Amino acid sequence: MAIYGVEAVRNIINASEGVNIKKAEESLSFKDMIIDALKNVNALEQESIKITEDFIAGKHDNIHSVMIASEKAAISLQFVMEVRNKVLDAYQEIMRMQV
Amino acid sequence: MGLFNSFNISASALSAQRLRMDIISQNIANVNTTRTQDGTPYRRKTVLFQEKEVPFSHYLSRESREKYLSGSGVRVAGIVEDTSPFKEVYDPSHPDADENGIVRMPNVEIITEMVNMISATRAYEANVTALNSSKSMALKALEIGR
Amino acid sequence: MLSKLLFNRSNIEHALDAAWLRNEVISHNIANVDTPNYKRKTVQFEQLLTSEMKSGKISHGASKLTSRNIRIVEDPSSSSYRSDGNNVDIENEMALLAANSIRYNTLVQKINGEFQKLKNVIRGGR
Repeated sequence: MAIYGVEAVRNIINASEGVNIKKAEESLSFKDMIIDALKNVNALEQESIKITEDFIAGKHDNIHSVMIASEKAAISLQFVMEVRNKVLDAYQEIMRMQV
Repeated sequence: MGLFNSFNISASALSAQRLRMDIISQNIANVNTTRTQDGTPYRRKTVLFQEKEVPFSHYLSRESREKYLSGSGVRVAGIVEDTSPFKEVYDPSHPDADENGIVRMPNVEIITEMVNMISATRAYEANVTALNSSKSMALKALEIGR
Repeated sequence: MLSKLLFNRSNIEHALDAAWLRNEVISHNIANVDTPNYKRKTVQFEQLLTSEMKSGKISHGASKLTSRNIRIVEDPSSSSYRSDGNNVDIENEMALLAANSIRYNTLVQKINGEFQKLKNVIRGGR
């Protein structure tokens, strides 16, 4: 036999848990995005290093591959740096706010 | 082996054509040589060109698994002697004349050699142009991202 | 995620690969202008790309283009000018060389422009 009062409390507990979980997910997903972006930058950098090493070893002579890979790595790094700068600026602006 | 395959291709052609020019010059220089090391008149020489085949291994390391078999220029397979018969000239006063007064002269035709010389020069110039073109493409690629 | 967002221009890269290979193949043809029984080779890329686009396998800007679209094809036709089995026409090869060089330079300029645009956007126009 269900006790209606307890049921109501349980609903409230479930609802609040859902909210907590969602908030946690959202903050996790932003962190995930940053980590993802850094992993991408790292991957592009690794690929650029690999292509450059192949070029040095004489395995291929595609100059354009080397240049394009290094340019991609540089641009993605610059992109992530700009995002980081903006985030830091936003944070500092919030910290400066008079409460 | 070298880093730039396109330069190697043109360079191999340049050296092959230069060797051909040397042989042509030798033919022209010996147009009247009736006495060589073994006593016979000079025999005209020609070069034999052959395509140099090298698989492009750098394409193996890309995503696709296909091999792009292409060449790596040209090489001289050998210097062969022309087996056409000697020219026979009637000249009894020549020191190498036989009992009938016939002197065997080299089987070198000056006109043929001149035509071959022009052809070798033209091929040489074409290969120089190809090499310059490759170089300018490579230099242009260096400007990516600047 | 980042690469897909920013660098969806691998068509240009493959075209650059094809143009570079074509330069090598044309150099090889020119080097073998006097080799008996040599048949000239060509690089097929643009026709294959066009036919694949028409058949719907690749859409514009897609990065599904792979190196298998670049092919070296031997041209078996015999020339009426030559009796030694060689079908290399030196004037044709020189013209193709010049055209290919210009095509390569164009592609380099184009990809340079793409990178400049990205950098400009990232800097925020400053």
